[in-house]
Amino acid sequence: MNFRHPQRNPCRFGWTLTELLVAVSITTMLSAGLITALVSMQKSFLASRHHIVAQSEQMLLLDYMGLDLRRALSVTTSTTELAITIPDYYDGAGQARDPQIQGSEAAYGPTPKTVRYYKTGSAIYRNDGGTPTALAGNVADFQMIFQNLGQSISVTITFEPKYQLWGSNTNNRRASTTTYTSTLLRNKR
Amino acid sequence: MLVALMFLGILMAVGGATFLAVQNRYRQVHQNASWQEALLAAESGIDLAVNELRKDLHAPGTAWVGWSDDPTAAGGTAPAMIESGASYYTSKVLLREGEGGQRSYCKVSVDAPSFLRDPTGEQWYRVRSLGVANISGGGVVAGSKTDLRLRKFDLQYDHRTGARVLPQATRLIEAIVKPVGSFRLALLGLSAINLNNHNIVVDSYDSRDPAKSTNGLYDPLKFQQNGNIATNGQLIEAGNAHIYGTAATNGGTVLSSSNVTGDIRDNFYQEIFAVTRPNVVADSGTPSTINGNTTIAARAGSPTQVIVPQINLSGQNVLRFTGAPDGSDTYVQIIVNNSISLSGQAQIIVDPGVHVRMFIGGDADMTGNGITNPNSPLHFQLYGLDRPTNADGSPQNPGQLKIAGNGGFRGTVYAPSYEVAMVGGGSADSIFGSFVGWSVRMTGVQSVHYDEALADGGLISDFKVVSWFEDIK
Repeated sequence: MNFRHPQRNPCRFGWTLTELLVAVSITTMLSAGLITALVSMQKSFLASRHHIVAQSEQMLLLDYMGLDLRRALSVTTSTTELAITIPDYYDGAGQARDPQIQGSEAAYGPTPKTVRYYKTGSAIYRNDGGTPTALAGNVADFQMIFQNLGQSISVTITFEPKYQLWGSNTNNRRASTTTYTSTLLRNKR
Repeated sequence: MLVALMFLGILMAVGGATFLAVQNRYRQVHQNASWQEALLAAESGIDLAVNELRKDLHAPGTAWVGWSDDPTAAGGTAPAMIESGASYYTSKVLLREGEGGQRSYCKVSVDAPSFLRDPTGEQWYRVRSLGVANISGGGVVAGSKTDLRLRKFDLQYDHRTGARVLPQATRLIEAIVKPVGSFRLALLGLSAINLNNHNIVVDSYDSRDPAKSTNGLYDPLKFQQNGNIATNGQLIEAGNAHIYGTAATNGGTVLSSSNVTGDIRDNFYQEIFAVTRPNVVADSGTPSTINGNTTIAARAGSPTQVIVPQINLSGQNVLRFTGAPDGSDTYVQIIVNNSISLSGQAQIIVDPGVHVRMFIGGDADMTGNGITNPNSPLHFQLYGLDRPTNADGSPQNPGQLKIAGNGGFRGTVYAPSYEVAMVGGGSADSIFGSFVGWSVRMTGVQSVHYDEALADGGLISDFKVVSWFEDIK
């Protein structure tokens, strides 16, 4: 009998079970690490975006308030609303009016306009002539504290922005962010 | 390999999104900072214009230098004094040039339109100041729609003129500036104020407002709390007098202030204008001396000019200023080179509608029956001419101006080189007006009722922004 050793065919070379188990384990660990890193990055990115949006809205709100307060003729404050009367500067066509002397003051137009800031739900609105605009909608809660100093108004707003990551998870809500602004009423000088 | 590329792609996408978000955030911060800086530039422009107006009062030769009446600010000239109907413009006033050539500047125009003349003929001014601040980071939109509704950036074109520009933020402010008279306070003592009786009352009323006066006269039921007193110096002795208004010093102290109802301030300073002798000649037919009963006729339009060496009235002598029979406005200006003395029952009578402006070079002792003036206190203005001063600005030999007697006083005093004394009697005397002196002293039981309308009368001493509006179109 002629026994021949079978020839090993290089094309039919395979992995042993052990090798495969080791490879799969390493791949799984790498994938788990990458996915964990991706999820962390995603969370961090979302939190950063919330932070940016919250700060942008705070800045927008304070800038709008500052703009209206600087040109205010009078200011009425309460704990929930800020009402500001401003000159009726624009005519029906949106053009600037010429001022007229009234007593010891200069006045534009027949009736001053009123701009209101108030909270509805979780948003702070600016209502200019009956048109409300949400300025800070990404706010869970806020308080407005006004200090009327005659010639200046100090506003303290405490935001509670949600830096939430998923769904309605509120564990990530930041305690509070308090912003301050003090504006000289230019027309009260 | 495929898995690695997939992960690499995801990482790049996340990284890119983060980079874009961060870049947008930085760009928004830069743009908002420029927007805020443009406001500072615009407000600086208002201050520049008001400063030029003030120069017209205190240093006319230096006013409006470098300003132009050409809207492009490329040429033209501006006269020394701004006149009604004229407009003056500045060129680009460079306020700041920071790192990388970032600039902020303002363009200012001042005009004096006819509709800004008040009933007394004083011209008010409209100042428009455009603050411009360059934006770094390129002409790319950042921020939400609500943001951009508030902050209108010119990233390629000026949204007001349509001209192509480098990225910039602009803020346009329109301010109305009005002249302010010499009598802005009830009492102003340049060095000090001394009130030595707790029964003294200083309050205010407004002869223009029926809610704050009755028939234009003081009504104790309608008194106001703008009887402000102040000093450019460091001391007010309030003497526990009832001051219905604020008491202000220039970094000093208000003593015995328990009855001051308004603020106690230490940040006061008011510029004082020079009181110089008017360069006029006396009208023919007017008296050259006033030592007894005298009548002077005021006239409409330009004032009757009178120059006398002194006024010396005693006994029952009367100096009377007569006006139009219908009480319409008439004017007289009288220059007294030396002193004024009223004693006994002598008095000065101002008829209805007559405006008297009196300049004195010597002392004034106004006792007797005082001033009978049925008009506003602004109808009798007494100015003390300036005297030589020491190096620190104090008068070398201050004049003496005394108001006493039982006739009361309804008028105004502007005498920054004089020691002004108001001497009350045992009963409550009432004085209506405003008093400016080197020092102001009140003794006895007296009341000073300040007419808030006085702030808009008298010689112009300053300018005040009465309206401020930011045009956000």
